[in-house]
Amino acid sequence: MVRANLPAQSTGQQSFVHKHAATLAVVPVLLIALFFYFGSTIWSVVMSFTASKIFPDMTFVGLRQYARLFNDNLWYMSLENLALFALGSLGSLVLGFVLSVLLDNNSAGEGAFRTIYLYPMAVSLIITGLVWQWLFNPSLGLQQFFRDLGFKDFVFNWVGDKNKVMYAIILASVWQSTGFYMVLCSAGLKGIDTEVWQASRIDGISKLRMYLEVIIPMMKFTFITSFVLLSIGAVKAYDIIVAMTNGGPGGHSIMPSYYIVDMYTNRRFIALGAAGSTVLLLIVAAFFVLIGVINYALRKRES
Amino acid sequence: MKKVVILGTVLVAATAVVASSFAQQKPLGELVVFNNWSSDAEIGALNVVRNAFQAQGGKWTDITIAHDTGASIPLINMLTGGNPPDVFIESNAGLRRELFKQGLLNDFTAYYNSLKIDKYIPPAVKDAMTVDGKILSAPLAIHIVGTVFWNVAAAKKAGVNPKSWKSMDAMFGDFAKIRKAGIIPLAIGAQKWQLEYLLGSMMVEVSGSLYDDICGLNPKRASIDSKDMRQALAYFRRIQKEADPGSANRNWNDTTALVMRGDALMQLHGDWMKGEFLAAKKKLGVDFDTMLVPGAAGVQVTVDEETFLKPANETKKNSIEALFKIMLTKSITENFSVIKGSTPVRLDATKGIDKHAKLVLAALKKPGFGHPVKNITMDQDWSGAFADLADAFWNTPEMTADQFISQAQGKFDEVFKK
Repeated sequence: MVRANLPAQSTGQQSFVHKHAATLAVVPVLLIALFFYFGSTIWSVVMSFTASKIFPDMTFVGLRQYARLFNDNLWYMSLENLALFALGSLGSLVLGFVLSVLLDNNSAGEGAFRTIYLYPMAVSLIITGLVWQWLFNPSLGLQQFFRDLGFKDFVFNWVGDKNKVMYAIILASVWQSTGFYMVLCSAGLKGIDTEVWQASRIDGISKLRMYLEVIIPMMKFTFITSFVLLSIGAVKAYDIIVAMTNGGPGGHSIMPSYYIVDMYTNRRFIALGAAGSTVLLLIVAAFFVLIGVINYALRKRES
Repeated sequence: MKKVVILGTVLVAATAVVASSFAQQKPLGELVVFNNWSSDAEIGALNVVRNAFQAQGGKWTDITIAHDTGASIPLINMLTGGNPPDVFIESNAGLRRELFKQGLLNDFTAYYNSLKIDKYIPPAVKDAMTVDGKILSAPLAIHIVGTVFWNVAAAKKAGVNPKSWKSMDAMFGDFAKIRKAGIIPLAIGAQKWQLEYLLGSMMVEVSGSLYDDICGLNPKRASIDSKDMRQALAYFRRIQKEADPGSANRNWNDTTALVMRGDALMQLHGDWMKGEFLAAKKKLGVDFDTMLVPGAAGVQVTVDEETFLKPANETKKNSIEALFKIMLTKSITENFSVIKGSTPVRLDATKGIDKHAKLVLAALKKPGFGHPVKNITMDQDWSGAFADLADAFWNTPEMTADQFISQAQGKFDEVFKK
């Protein structure tokens, strides 16, 4: 019908448009993506080899900015914190999975619980950070609350303790994202054939063993998706640092993205910020190649 | 005929008078003014300048983007994007140096000299306005860093008189007594930027030239390893050891609240603390009091400044000169300061200002006492590296002055390597 309403065109043209309609529709977005994403990425990489400070400056200085970057304690601290944060965020996947299993086995009130667990996801990370910062604040938060209750020596000042500050940030971020991973895992669980469960009942296999030995391996692609999302979250972690600590105390909660933004803005040092982003890009690329290889290997074995 | 000649002469004379008065009151045009101020006090104060400019026939167009931690990203984008505002709030001399090199800024040196107000401008303010010998900006307000605000009732309770302290050691000497009364002696908000200011305060406490040598527009490496720097670090370390456990990551205004509640005796920070006390309806000289750091050899002076783009035509030139002059006018800076809670930018502007502002002006009158704060003068890369070190030093009790100094020298070399 639609075709009949089209104005008369030469058949050659018509078939070309028809054949490539999808491609043509994608072209504008593709061009924008190429220009802005890849263009900006290339621009950053180029900048990292220059002497640019406040304004771009094309004086080529080789690897000098990289040498500076890897001579900076704060950069190393930020990389360590990134690793710690990435490991810690796995907590939201573990917790999310456990919650989804519990919900799966207890259908009463499932919807209500799911809403409650998912609720933190509706709050922006900056608000989450702020609320947790208050909770950790020694004169406003939980510490003061328990002291007012009579526990005079109660100490809960993770945000102010350089050895615990990262755990405070991880706790806040896990609190925020657990619900999301619970939903992902629930979807994964729902996708498992009911026959699997019937078979296990007939064979008399315990539920725990079923989850550990059958269900978890069956959900491997859900987990791979989760790993990818978690690692993106870790690399991007910036707002929660701003809301909770601004990298303090003493830089013990600094993360690479915070370091980079700080270089670009407060330090007005484009080249060093660009060097940091380039290194971060390489780390991310290496990680995603690894995930891609694992994913490919798993799928190949499956087929 | 005679009458006509006389009338004619009178008319010509009258026209000349009118014309000359017009010549003084050159026609003003529109100025686009970029600001990052957003509080009621800040906007109220800025309106004093704006109204004066409009009263002279100028048109003022605002672009306001609220505080962005001094990074001025929107401003930099406007400048590099080729659509810059005519006037913008920016105190960093490094940025002004860079923009002036690119031929973007107006040089006010000759105009400033023609105003003949040099003797009224505190030397530290003039230093802040000057980049490589040229006056490139106009000051709006002064705040000083390195002031102590204390709770009068808490001092009475502890049985101490802060004004009697003539040195840091005398101050530290009373700390045991203050603690005994259950009061934190000196409340600190140990966030990086506050620690930067605190170490700066300890540096000017010891020696003004040390501060200028390290935080000035043209820093000297040799001063990093000096007796004075070690003394400043020793004071800084002592304050860290005396700080309460809640100080880590504490906001400056939460810290001020501790002093207001009497949980802490005093705070050593920038004098914008005054605004917090006043907002809580506390009276200066009654509920709280103010002084410079005991035994200070100088103070760090922060100056809010407007920088002006090189004018494209005569009207723009007249407009920016008019605005420049307004900002340096006695009555304007008085009114401005009363509303913002800052100190006027002229030594003779004393009408209506409070006890603290008088204290500041008296301090700034002393030659060599005021030093433009590092945010104005220090290379931002060097400044950031120095702040990182101050932060690390504070948070690593086992870090020695020697380690601080050798790391600072390393950073200095990295930053200034050609």
